[in-house]
Amino acid sequence: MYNANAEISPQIQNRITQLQQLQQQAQALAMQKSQTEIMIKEAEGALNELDKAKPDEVVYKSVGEILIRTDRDSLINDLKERSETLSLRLQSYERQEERLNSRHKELQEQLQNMLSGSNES
Amino acid sequence: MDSINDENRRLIYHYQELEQAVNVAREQMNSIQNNIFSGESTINTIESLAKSGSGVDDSDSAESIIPIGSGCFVHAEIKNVSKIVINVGSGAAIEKSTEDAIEYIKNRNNKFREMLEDMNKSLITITQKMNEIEQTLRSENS
Repeated sequence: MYNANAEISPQIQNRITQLQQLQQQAQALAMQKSQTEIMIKEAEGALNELDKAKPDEVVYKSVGEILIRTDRDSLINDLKERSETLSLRLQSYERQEERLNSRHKELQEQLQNMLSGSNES
Repeated sequence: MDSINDENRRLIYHYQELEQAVNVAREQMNSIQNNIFSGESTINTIESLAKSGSGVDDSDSAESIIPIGSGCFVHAEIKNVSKIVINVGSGAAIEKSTEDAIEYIKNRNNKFREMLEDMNKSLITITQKMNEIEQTLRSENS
């Protein structure tokens, strides 16, 4: 267990700061990822409802604060595009997450080695 | 002075994590419950509007008053009360008949109820786990 009263070398302090920053980035990324997943689910739900609707069904899409009338097929296309964009964004978040995780692991190992090295000396 | 061993410290930390999870789950369950209430209230509104629309002159419109703040209202007429526009998410809205709109909201509420049931089960498991930790810590202390 890390002893808070012990003197910490600047290198160890630096690694701890980096690790904390990385954790903050990971938290922010996890939040963005989860929001994107929710938006994808919402788009899928809306597409599902539009699929059930008849081709001549009256549909609207929101533009800013108002809803404007549109046709079902173009709304389906809009939502498919939106869903694809969101999926790409999600993939990019997943790649960033992998990079952060491996960097986190690397830093943790470095810190562990530094701490065990400083304990031995 | 510090008599807490590593295992107990780990248990206390785990207990705190579970406590946080319970709080988050309760907040989410409250929010889901509010959505269910809101859905039921909307169903009542749709039914009342449909009745008022097929009232005296069968005009498919309803007389109403709209709030403009400070307890004041202006007269308004709601047209096509037999058609309800439902927001289905992602900026899409579909016009439905009153029956279909009610059906849609009922289905959504049923999904919310299923979610509540699942969350309730998880909550029971978490609180059981918390009780076990409490028991372990108490028996260690006694």
